[in-house]
Amino acid sequence: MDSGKQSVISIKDLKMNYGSKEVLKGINLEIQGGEIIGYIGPNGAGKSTTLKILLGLINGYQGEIKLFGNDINVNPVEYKKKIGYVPETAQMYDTLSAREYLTFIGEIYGLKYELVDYKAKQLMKLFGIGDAYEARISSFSKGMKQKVLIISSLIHNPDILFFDEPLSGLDANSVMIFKEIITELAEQGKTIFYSSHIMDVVEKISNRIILIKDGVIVADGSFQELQAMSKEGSLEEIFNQLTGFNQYKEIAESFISVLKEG
Amino acid sequence: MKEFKILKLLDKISWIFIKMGVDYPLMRRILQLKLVMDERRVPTVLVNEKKASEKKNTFRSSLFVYLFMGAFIGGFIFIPIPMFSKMNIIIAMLLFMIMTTMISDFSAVLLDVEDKNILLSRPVDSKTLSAAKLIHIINYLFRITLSISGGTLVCGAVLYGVLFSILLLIELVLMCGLVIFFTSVFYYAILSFFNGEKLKDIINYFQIALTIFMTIIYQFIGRIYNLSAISIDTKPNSWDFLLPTAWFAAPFSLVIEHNISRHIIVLTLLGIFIPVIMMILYQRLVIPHFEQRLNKLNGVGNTTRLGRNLLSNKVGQLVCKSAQEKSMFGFTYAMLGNERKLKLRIYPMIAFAYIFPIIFIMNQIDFDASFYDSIKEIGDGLNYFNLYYSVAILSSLFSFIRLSENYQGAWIYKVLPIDQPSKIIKGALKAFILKFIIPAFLFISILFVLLFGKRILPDLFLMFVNMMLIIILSIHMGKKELPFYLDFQYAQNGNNAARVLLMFLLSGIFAAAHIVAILIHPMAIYINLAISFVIVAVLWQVTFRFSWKQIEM
Repeated sequence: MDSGKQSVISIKDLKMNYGSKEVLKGINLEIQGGEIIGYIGPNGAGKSTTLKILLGLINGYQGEIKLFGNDINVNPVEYKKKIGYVPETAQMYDTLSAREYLTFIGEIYGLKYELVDYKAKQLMKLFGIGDAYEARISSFSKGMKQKVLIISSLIHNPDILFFDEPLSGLDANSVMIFKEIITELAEQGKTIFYSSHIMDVVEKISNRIILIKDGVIVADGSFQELQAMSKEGSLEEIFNQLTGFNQYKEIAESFISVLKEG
Repeated sequence: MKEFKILKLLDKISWIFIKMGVDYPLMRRILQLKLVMDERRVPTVLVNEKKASEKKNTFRSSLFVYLFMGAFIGGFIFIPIPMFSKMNIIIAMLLFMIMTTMISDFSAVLLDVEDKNILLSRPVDSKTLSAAKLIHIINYLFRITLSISGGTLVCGAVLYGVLFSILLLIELVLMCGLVIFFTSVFYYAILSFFNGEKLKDIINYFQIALTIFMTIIYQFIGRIYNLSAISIDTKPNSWDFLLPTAWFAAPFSLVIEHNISRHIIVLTLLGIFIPVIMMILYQRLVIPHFEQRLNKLNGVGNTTRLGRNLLSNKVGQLVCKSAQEKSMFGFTYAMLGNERKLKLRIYPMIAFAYIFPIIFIMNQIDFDASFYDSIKEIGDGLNYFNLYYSVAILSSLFSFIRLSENYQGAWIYKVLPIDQPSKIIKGALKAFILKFIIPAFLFISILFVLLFGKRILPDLFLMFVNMMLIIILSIHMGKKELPFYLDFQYAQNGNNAARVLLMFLLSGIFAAAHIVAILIHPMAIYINLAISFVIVAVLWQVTFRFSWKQIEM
């Protein structure tokens, strides 16, 4: 990687066990500002675990993790001010209204109430759900909840963004807005850590793709580099090849033949 | 956002938190948010009440319920028995109420993992979060404790002076500490051996127990005061040392009665030191490990109860004709076992079905005559007709089946190729009867046969058939509703009360016919049985003939 720049995220020999099960078996990563990382891997490969460790949601890992040059265990509150997170499952205090929830989150990040209130309202409007600002989140549709989650992750203008399936439930127009936002943010030097199963999106937006399987990194590079490495066309095919999965046709055929039984 | 009094109170002692290294403004903000969210939550005590309006603080109304109950507990003060025994009883009731409330209403707070998932990825340190959580629990627990013990505080002050109340207040703090400790250890133990789903089940049972207990207290209140007639053993026992109620009762004997026996002094010391030690242990040992165990709640439960499902499937094969009805039977049977909120509504009603006839019979017991004689006298009479109260309550239960926590899942009825909606309701009804009605009626029938003898067996059969008649009749007359399609929030209580009233009316009519049959001729009951049976058979054919258009959805 480019020398001279200081890594925004630096992970050295990260290992994690759940009981006797080894989930991460030594992850090494250096990520610079302005990168959009597509973090992909099969189910149970350790993607969410990596994210949760980086966010301080899980403890008990081995190895060293530095964000902005500081160990994440030393002053966790400081680094969390500069990150944003969209979790995979839409966990929110949904008995609150969008206004109550977003202003609360903003205030945790140290913003003044009036400012968050204004920003949150504007952002909701821009996402086309301004009318629902005073309504309870529990009454929202899946896509609306997702928009609130995205706003809550961005409202304090963080330097690193962790997205775990951020597009679930969003309509095509909102997806386009969101992709554009990501690209612009990266141009401003922000780091985006994007974890998803939707290969087409990852292929298009990421400028660096990291593929993990069974707790180790099996590929790391731009889409073009991955293409050259595996001689395959789309990211989906590269994913299949690198994860050693090539019998999808056979499985599909067996699946259908089971359906026909009886 | 709304300002709460407790927050202003906390502002005055904010320096304590700041000294402990807690981010006070943040803690205050989290607490404020939690309090707002709580106002939008309905506590168990009020589960039978009408859904309160948004603005109204449902917690405050539940405090009145506790205050009311507490008044009765306080009445015990006036019973002329030794202080130590008296306080033992009072504290046992207070502790029981505090403990069950803690488990049923504040488990949600104690076991909240949502906080962790939402807040820990943000700049919040875990110390601040734990402090907010603890204050949140203590705030409620102490207010509830004060309401429940309000009666005792006042009555005690009247009878023994203010010293009594001051002593009780100090003890209440210690008792709350003990309760928080025990609940956490209890949950910790459950989570060590079982998964999060099991814990939720256990909490559900506590909620059911609390609802039943509250109702029984109302019913029995007059009777409880007769307890004074029962002699209470006042000798110091060595097992007192194991009873928390004895630890807390001892200081009253010591301070108010100046009883300075060694027994009392040791108990008093236990009552002070054990809660304090427990609180320190809680802070040092339980909290760190507890939080880790809580991660289990995030996981998915994987308990399979294959055995039970197999049995219900076999029964389903026997009692259902069409395949769709059979599958509906199995589905309903499984749903009824898993729907926690539904159980919270149904089980207390079943308990009432047991309790009401027994209470009415107990009211007949003549306490002046010998117990055996009065039981024998009742056993010879017609008091078993009180069972029609059970019949009425049990008949009203089936309408609960339209409610579900997962009411959104009801789209499947519309999507699936079901030609006759009656098949859905038939299957559901059969499963419901098998799951709740038959076991409940069987149990209380056995009790009644023990009391009244085998002679009432034909009557019990007639009652059961009449109960079926009432259930089918109410389906016939009522709206045709599918199972599990409605949110609890739409189940207004007024509706249900009217339904129960109708059931009582119908039961009354059939009970009257039953009595007339008995009085005419000993054999007439079989004619009544035959008639009821024929009506059931005919009604069954007539009722289950509706089309999709008649279905309420």
